[in-house]
Amino acid sequence: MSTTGQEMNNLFEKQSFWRQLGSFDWVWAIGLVLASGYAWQQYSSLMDVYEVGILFGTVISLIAWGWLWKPVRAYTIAVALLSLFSIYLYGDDLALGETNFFLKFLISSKSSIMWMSALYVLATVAYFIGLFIGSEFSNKTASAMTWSATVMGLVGLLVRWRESYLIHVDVGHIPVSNLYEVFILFSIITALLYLYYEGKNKNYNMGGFVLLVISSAVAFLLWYGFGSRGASEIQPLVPALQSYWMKIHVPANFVGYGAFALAAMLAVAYLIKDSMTKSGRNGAIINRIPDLEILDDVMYKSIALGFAFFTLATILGAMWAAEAWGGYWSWDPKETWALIVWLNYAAWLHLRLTKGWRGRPLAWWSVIGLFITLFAFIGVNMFLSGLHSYGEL
Amino acid sequence: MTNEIKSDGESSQENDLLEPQVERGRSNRKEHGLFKVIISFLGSMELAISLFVIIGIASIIGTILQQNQVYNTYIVKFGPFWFEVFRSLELFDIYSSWWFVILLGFLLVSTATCIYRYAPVIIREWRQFRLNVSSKSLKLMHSTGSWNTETTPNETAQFIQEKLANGGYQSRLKNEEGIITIAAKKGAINRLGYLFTHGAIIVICLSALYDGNFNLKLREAAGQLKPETRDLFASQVPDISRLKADENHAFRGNANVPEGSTTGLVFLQMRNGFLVQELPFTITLNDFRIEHYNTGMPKSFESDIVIEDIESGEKISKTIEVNHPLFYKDFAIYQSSFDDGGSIMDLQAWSLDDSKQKVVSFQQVVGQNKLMETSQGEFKLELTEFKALNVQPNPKAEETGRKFKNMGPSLTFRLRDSSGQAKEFINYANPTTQEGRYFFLSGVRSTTTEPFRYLFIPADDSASLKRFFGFRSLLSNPEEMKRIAEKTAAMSLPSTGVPDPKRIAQMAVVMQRLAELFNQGGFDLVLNDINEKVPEDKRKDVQDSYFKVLQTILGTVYLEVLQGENIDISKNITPAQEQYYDDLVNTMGVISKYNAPFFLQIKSFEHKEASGFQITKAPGKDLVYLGCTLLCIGIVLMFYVANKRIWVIISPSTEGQGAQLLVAGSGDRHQKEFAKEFQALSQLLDKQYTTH
Repeated sequence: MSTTGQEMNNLFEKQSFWRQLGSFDWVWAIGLVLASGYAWQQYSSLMDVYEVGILFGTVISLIAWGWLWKPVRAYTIAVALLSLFSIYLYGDDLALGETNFFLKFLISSKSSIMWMSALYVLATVAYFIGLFIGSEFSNKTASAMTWSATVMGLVGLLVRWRESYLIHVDVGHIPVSNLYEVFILFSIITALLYLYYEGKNKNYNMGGFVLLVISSAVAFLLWYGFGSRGASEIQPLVPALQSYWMKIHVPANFVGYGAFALAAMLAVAYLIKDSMTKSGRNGAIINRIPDLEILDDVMYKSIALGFAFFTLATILGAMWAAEAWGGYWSWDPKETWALIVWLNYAAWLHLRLTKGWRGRPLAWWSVIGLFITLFAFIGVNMFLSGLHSYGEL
Repeated sequence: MTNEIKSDGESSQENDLLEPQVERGRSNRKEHGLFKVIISFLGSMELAISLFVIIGIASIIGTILQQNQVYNTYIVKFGPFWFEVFRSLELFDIYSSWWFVILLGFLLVSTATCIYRYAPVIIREWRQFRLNVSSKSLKLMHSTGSWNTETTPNETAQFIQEKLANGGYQSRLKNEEGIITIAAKKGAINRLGYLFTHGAIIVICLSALYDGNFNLKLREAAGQLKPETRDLFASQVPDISRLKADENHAFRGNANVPEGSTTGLVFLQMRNGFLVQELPFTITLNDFRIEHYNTGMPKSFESDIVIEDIESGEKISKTIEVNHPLFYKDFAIYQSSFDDGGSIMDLQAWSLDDSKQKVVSFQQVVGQNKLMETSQGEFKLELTEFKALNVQPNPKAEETGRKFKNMGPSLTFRLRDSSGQAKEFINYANPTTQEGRYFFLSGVRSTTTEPFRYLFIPADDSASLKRFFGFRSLLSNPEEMKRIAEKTAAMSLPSTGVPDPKRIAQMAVVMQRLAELFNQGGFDLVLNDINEKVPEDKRKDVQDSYFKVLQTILGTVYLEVLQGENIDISKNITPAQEQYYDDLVNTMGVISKYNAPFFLQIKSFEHKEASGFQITKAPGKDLVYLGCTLLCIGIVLMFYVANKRIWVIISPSTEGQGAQLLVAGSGDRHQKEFAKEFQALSQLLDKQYTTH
């Protein structure tokens, strides 16, 4: 009997979920509650009722998330410490970002994003080395770098949030308002989703494939943010975006996009492995790629998760639209493309769940789905104009 | 192929067990002949997927082809033939076209059919424990095991039920002639996910259709309603394009209300026309406020409005802003935009015509038109937009430390000639600086797609256009020019010797002609003239001497203008006045390309703003939200609640008081998770009993 069986043994014995929690679980959760209580006590006069709701909703979800997926605890602590240190260093003076050593080279928003970018690219390389030569060390390094990049990315976003307030209190806003910012969010979320499945399946060999899509996002980010467009500058918000809805609509959407991207990259791994095995080229590298059955299963779970969040995000978007634009549905290009993406994955899930499709056709479909998603995500901003034209290229 | 909700593909064994259930579910209904065929077509997965794809493609077309534009735009883009084809396919308003609504209708019917077919099965699966299982079918399952017990069947059953309850299973027990069957289930509510999601789609689509403009389309088809396509005032719109307050249960319309005005109407857009919708209340805009960031981008805008109910006279005052609408009865009033509310402009038209130098002052309201009589014929002056401030990136950000600068108020207008051709202009009220000098700026373009080309007219010492137009006026006056030319010619000829009157007269004629050419077309026209009349080898010399002569006379004209301003020119003229002359000549040189009958100067203005409201009535909104909630719950049930079942058959041992135990189970779509759970249960049983 495996160890998992040992753990599961508890299921049929009378034992509560709470008893399974260790002391670190409790310390961490209490820390979160205290921190949010402090934030509420300090800043509640500046928040409206929705924002208070979002604050406590976030804390409850974070605790649940950390209890169900343990590495989240260390992750949140690392992000919190680095962000707070950076905010502390800044004080009230934005100009310190150019002079203070730590800020300039490590944890100002821009530097953190740079570190994130570099680490993701290095991790991609390390994962592929791990896959090609089967080095456990390389894989573990890659995984550690991915975690660090994900920490730096979130630190970058959080510090950017503070920086926007340092520019001027009127300019301050959550950094999910333009393409530069959401690309960072997309990278982090995709990485976290991947890390979850990596931990769960104890297999590092999907890393390179998934990190490939993140590295592409990073390339876009650098070109878009730091190239001639200078989109990394913090811009004030247009009136329509000044709403608490942005804090929930945008992140929910990006869990969807991230999950669809993950599914598509797993599909690529699936197709490669399947073709190679069928043509009889069964090398060590191909063998290291997880079993087709696992890839297929994780792909399905990823799409199911993405679909759930994407549905939720679209609904939240409709509710926001009803408040800002005067109607929950306007057939605006972005809305319409959200519907197209939704129909696409709805069809995918129907074929899998009720028609029992598996394997190659659905893998191809996931890859195509990524392009549809990408169009809804960036293409609409590039080629079509409408109400949603916030992050224009 | 039919829409089988059960088949899982992974495990055929379970299907053997579960399929009869589904079959029974189906056969409960009397489905015969044609009805059966129709139901199986409407409920088929092929139809559903096809509809997804077709609706998706139609939606894509709607995003690529910009919807609800002015028809002329489409005609220009596609030509009359394709315009007609696209229009008849309703491609310019896809989402409320007949065929799109019919597609959505099909999707509804298909979804409803699926629910009709499977709801009975699903509900039974959700509620029933399925105690009627045979040992044979249990042994065929993925997860199965058997044990021998020392305890009696009843004790064993009690023990197992207790453990199953710990594991979160509900169980039922059946004792038939000593053989005990236990059926347990967990997460069977997963099955309801199917009903929730598919029911949600029906609720959402129906409510959204109810909120749409389908009823207006029906009335239009019946000839009771006709969208107005002319550019009319609301009061002039005929009854066939009007809707009474109680006539329309759902709409979404726009109203622009200038400050201090009241309206009781909104405009509903319908394809290339509009309908006028009356409201049961009036909206008065008391004040409109807008704040800007230092980039010139609007930071916030808000309106103080008063709503007055027409029937009861009840009044409500409220301030609305973006993201903070006012909900009144079934209506929602949104701050959606802002516009000019008819600012009153004091304007001065300086004629640019050579023969008639005159200035006309008049008042005109933004948004209105005026016929202007000019020597080039009649023009319609259309004031289209007034902006009180124009913040632009500062080209001297480095020196001044300010990233942005405000160019001040601007007026956009069009001049339309009698043939309907129009040019667009943008004029700035305040002179802007260029290298320390001040200029009046006017942009011109022939089509809205090209960028503006700017004319810079130098502002004189009193920041006015007087000197410039004084110069122009003098240059266009033949008698005065004759006098000046003769004077200049006399002065410019060599002072030694006796002046030759004949030469002076000749010189004066040349001077006057050059000045006239320059006045008409700048240096270019002078050059053309030389190129036409002078052989190539002598051109260079002639050019040089002509330009010298031209400069001399223009200089004299300028001095006369300065004199006219009571400036003492006997002293040296100032560098600023000299600079002004250069700018003046430069502007004169290009003004013919400006190609307008007059230059419009903004003397003063009274800024009036208008607030753009969107007013909606969407009675289906709450139902849509209900549908959305159902959809979310359904998705969670389907993906994240695992439907697991365990069966136990306990039969008394043939020898002794013990029993034989057969345990089996299935995890439906979550086989892997269930396998682990079953492993745990087996371990537990291993400790208690001996393996069979």
